[in-house]
Amino acid sequence: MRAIHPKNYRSVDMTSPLTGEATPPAAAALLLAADEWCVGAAVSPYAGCGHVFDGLTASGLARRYLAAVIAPGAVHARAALSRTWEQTTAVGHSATEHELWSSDSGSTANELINVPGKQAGVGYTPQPTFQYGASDIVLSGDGINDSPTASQDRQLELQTLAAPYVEPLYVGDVSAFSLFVSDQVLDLETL
Amino acid sequence: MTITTPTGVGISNASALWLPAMAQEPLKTALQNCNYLMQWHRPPLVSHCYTADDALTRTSIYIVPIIPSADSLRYNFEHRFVCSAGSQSVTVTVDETASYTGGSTTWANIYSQAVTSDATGGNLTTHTKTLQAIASTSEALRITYTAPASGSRNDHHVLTYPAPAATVAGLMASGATPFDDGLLAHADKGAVHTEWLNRCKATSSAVLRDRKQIALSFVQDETNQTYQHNSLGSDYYPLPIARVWLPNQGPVCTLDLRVLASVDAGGYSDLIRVRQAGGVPGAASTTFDALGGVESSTLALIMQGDGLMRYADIEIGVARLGANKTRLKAVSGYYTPGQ
Repeated sequence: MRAIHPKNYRSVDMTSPLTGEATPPAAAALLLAADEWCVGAAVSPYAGCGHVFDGLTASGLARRYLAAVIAPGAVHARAALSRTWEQTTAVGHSATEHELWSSDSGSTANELINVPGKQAGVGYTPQPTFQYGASDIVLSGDGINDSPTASQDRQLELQTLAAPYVEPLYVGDVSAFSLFVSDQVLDLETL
Repeated sequence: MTITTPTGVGISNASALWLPAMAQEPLKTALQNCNYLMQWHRPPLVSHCYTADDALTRTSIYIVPIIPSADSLRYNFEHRFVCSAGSQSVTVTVDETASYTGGSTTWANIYSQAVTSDATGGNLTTHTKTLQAIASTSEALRITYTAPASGSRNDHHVLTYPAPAATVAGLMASGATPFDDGLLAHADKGAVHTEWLNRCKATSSAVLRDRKQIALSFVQDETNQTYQHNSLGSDYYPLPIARVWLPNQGPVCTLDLRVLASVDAGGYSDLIRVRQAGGVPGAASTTFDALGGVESSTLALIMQGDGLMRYADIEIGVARLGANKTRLKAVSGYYTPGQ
């Protein structure tokens, strides 16, 4: 059993050598540190890029296809979805929920992820816009259900591999989007 | 002597690390992981979703500021677009430049290829082009999509990530050094020396710091911007806030920002602002001139959340002066581990 030990690169010296001694004692800790630098670099999730784009002001823009590169050892992911709106009469493209899927999470009806959309309140209707509006950010669901029998708000499944891969994605009705790895493999020895 | 590059990260058993035998392993696996990282550490350099008009019937040109690897690596490109009619020919061209100066820019072609869109109109077309080198001195990419003969085109996303050639001996410009197994694997078993141990950290750190990770992106057409900010006052008007995830990092991380914007006339100073949003105490902001070239600065982020859910919300703002339009063309924000 070998767990991932997350490394905060802000709290370590990135440039000094592991040891400055010509003949250091043959300590297992030194060997472990050397190994951990390489393994840690490999399995650290890549930055979850915040993509800003107009996916709201026309129905033809509402469906957005993109892709992310997933670092080794990932198991599940979640997304941050930004919505931008004005509180007037709706004339643009609006939705009561945001659809989301990835290639490995699945894109058939039951596999779709549905994140609740911006709801109309008393006295106003949220009109999607790209600039001049107010924004909020909603996260996709934290529940794990890799065999859903109906579309729901849940974590996306990822491939748990020993090398990075490209995960195709789709998201609907947002003005910014980012994906982050929310769950990593418990035992690296299973990679 | 052989430079062996595993296709997956090598994982030594925990017990092998704590109670190592008098043998090549587990040090050999750790050192081969240096080679693995040099070829397989692949954080995206470009991941930009296009902001463009719906149903385009013209050629589109996007300029994306970049900070490429010092090793002039090869990269893979993935372009995503949708044509309203089936089987349309769209020529995808990618160029690079060391200095973007608008219309007088000298571009070097990376590749150009005619792509046939999906046979069914309205379906996604994904075009992948592998193993294209980007010079370490490049400041920006130019991505061009031609108009389909019939119907229209919607531009979705471009992804660019490292795909280096096979690891070869020698110190790279980034500071990474591969490992060959000659001495360690020799029948007479050479002594373990400290340079091997230090190389694990030195190469890991060099690769991490050399391959900048795209963390914030925005791009619209070079000359036909959907949003020109031509009806604003002099205050900054915000684009939608984006959440940037930097797992396990903090408490403060610094992004390298590259911004491309211009004005039609008049003053250009400090018309673009990028700041941390969300009312975080002590949050920083930085401004950029809309001078028509790629502007550089940094933004320190006070990270929120914990563990894998470490994040910062970022807002891009645009101002104008008088009646002069401010044209924001692209923003690229890069994360470097340790920064």
